[in-house]
Amino acid sequence: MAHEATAPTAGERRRRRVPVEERLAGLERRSIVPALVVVGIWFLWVVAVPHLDAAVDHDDPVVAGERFAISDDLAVTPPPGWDVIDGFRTTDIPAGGAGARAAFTNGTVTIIVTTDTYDGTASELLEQIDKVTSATGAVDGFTVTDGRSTVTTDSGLTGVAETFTGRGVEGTVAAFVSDGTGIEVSASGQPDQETAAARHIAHLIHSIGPWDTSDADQQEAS
Amino acid sequence: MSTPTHADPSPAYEPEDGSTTGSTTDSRTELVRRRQDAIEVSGWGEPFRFWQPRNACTWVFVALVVTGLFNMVHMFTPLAGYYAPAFTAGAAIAVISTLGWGWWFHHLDRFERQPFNVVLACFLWGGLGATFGIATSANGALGSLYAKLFGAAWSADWQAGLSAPFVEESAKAAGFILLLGMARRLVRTPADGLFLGAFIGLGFQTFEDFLYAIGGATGSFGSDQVGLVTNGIGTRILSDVVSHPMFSALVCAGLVYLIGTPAQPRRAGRGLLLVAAGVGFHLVLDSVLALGADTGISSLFIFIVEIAVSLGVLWYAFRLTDGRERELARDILAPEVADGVLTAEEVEAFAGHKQRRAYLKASADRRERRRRKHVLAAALDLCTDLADANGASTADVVASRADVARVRGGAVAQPEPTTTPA
Repeated sequence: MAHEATAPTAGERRRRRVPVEERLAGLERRSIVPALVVVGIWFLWVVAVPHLDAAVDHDDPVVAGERFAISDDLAVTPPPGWDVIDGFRTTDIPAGGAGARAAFTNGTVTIIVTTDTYDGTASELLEQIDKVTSATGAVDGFTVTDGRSTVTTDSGLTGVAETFTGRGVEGTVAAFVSDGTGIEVSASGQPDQETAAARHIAHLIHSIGPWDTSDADQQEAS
Repeated sequence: MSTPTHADPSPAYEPEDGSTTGSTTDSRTELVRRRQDAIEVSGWGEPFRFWQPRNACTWVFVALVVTGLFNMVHMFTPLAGYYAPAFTAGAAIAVISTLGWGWWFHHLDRFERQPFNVVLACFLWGGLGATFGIATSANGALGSLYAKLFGAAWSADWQAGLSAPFVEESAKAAGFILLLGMARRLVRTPADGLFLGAFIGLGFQTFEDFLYAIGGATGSFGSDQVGLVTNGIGTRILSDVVSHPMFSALVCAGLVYLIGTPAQPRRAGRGLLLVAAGVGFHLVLDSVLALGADTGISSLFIFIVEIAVSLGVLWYAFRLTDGRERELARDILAPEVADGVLTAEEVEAFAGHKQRRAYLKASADRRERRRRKHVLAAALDLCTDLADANGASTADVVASRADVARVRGGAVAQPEPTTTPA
């Protein structure tokens, strides 16, 4: 015996309709409370908490002499007075490890240091960085402005650097490779501001070097 | 064929005149009444209509899923060109993982297989509404707030544990609350909460895994994107079940106990415990490293204990919610004993795992045991068809009765044809 597909009867269609006494402003009365509960959850997480976060000032300046870990064995020394956006002081490493990113700003210029495994030379790494930046639009209108220069840090690590421009920004990007770890330093800001901060940027790049993990251990012990 | 509806639960069977004694007829009428009550109260066989313009929950659901979709596209578009190989690999893995786990959850949901459109709605809510509509921005904001208030290192240790469990569990539970408002007659038992929660969690997990896969592909400066996406994928897929599907299953089952439905009287204590378990396991899993560092206990040990305890609690919750489903299934099948389609022993096997084991253990040999398993599986099909038909003897029900007899290896008694409820 086969089923026969039948259209719903008029009575069935009426039963699907919400009875008039169960409506409020055209909506089914009983559906309003759960809908409002969910709107409340959405409001809390998508409106209230981000507004609260924006209302709390970010105030974490770099103190002279502080170093920030960029891997389990490399660190940088950012310019004193700059604000820490991201990254961990070598004296305060979280349980999950040193992390692979540090970022600092003076309000107009931002320096971001990123590390990760990389199997290649510093020049190849810089080419890869240029390729990804152009393809993903990370810097709008990204254009390399001059040839590459050699950079050697105070610890003797040699890498390459270049300058670039984008829409409303100019910057410097430097690449190093140390024992299979690639290091990218990217500094960018408004054209005149970036030039003014060039000394600080160079200072940070030259400070890339090993850090003593016992600093963190001692801090933990104390 | 007239279409049975749940709006008019009139008895499916008329008393058989003349062929039975008065007391047997009364007893059978009572069984049929209990069957109708079970079908009515359980919502089994109830169809789900997604588009309900007069339902406020429908509009909130659509708004947040569309917002999530928009946010996801906005987030991924800049990366889609260069990272196309990673997107392809990540999507392929997501599809395989979803199909695998989805099939398994569907298989576990024995008594009332959730309608496909409900499962799809759960998956989309978990993947788009909860993940990209709510959680991504909230987790970022809460993490930033923790860093400002307590410092970067403290935030790195505790941010995940003190934001994700609250943000993500409430975001996923929000979808279940909407479904409770959109399918009041269908989503009624704690088992509904358990399985629909698992599907919401599966959607969340799938899209979160995809997000992590693309994030991972940007590692090594984008020089080894496919390698980084596929690296450790087996471990990630296997560990997925002890993650969002489990957390949400516990939270949503707890919500059914907490809120109460026609099929499940409110049990606030049990509901709160299950909700707390889902959120608590999420918190511990996201804080394993920090807990290990703070307590001096090995993080691996904490992780293993967490997995073992959470699976134990999930199993307990499964057994707990399973009980109500079993009661309902027995009520639906009970008249089949009076009609000679099933034996009392077979229906009793649905009472619990112990009864099922006893029924199967009574087999004389392996062949008989397999036959008994088949009879129980065919009886479950009959139960589903009876619920779909609102207790009437439709063609599907007649075929299912015949199937029970076939696997048992004998003839089947069919009740007198009856009028289906109008």
